[in-house]
Amino acid sequence: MRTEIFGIHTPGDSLVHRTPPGVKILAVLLLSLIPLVVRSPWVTLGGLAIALIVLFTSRVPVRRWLPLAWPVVFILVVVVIYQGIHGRVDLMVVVPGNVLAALYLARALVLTTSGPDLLDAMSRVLPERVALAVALMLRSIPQILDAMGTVRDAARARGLGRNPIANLAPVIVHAIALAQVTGEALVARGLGESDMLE
Amino acid sequence: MSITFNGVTVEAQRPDGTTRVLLADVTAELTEHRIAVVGPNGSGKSTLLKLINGLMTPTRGSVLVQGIDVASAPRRVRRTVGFIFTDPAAQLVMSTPVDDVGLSLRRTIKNRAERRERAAALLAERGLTHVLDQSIHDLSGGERQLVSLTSVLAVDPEIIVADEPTTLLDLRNRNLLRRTFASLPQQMIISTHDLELAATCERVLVVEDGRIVDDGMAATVLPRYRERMA
Repeated sequence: MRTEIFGIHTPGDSLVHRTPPGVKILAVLLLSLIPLVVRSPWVTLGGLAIALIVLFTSRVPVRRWLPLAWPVVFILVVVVIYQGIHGRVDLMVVVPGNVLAALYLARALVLTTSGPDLLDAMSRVLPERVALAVALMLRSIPQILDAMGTVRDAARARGLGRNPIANLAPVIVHAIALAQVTGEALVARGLGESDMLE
Repeated sequence: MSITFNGVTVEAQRPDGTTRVLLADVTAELTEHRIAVVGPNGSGKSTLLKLINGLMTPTRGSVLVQGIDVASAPRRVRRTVGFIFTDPAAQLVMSTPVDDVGLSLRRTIKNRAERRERAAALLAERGLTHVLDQSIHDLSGGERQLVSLTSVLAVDPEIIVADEPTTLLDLRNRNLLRRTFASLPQQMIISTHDLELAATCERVLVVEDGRIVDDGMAATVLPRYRERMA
């Protein structure tokens, strides 16, 4: 089974599961934004600790929320090296730490909240199309990652493994094609129309 | 059920400004229970299908579904016409099968628990109980196609349009989907390269260069089509 970026809803009856989705969404937003504004290693580590405590108390098996997909690990390592090269020791903690905290907080939300609950909560305060767009984003990230893997293999097979254009351009084309077909499918299913929730 | 094409022409602009004809003056009355549309790639099959639920509109002529002009009332028509795409991954919106089928039911069932129960029951009818809460990305191609079919059937369409539904499937899943289609009471319009699937239909239309070049019973049309493509 693949490592999902945000995970898949895991039913349960923990306090985190029972917390209203709207409260969870607000908490994720606040706890992700505060470390971005304050930019202190201690605040970042605090945010990360809260995210991990929330996930532990959700009683979702650790194997479902702890592993990171390789592109995420790659980006975090690149960020740490980049900040290290520039001698910004505090940012070596703050930048990847904030990304990790936001990721684990998002996982806590997605793992403990079913898709329909999330959609209902967002539809109360946002236009329904925006709520649907968030649902689509959650389902599209693994598809784009799959495409990245396929394109990387194809580039390697042609001896272009290190060529950034051969690795990136087909992924962009794929993402645009996926968006077009998904748009057609939404129209065909009558989703995103103003009366969907009437 | 009846679908009527009245002198339908569909044109598209090329990037250089010239016009490309996707369908040329198509006239047909589709009343049979199961109709297959066959033809080479780029012949106009998908265009023909997309006209039925308003995903495309004619440049000239009209398409009527049960007497309703699709161009003037596309949303009304879409409630009676379900559409199945070649790649179900593009069609599934939610992360799990039970949530995706539940999304189709939002308009008719307001209570979340009832919606989930109904979605689970519909998936069970298709033999998909074991994947209810799995990620759609972890399903096989056949399972994904059955989930997208279940999502379409959840809104009780009277017509199902399927655009090359077996293209991405292995033989076992093709056979499974064929059997599933055969059991559905809805009128079905299926574009396909799968001539075994086409052979199960009462009527076959052959589309080539944007025109219907052959039309009739599967037993008579398909042998001619094989010869044409030889």
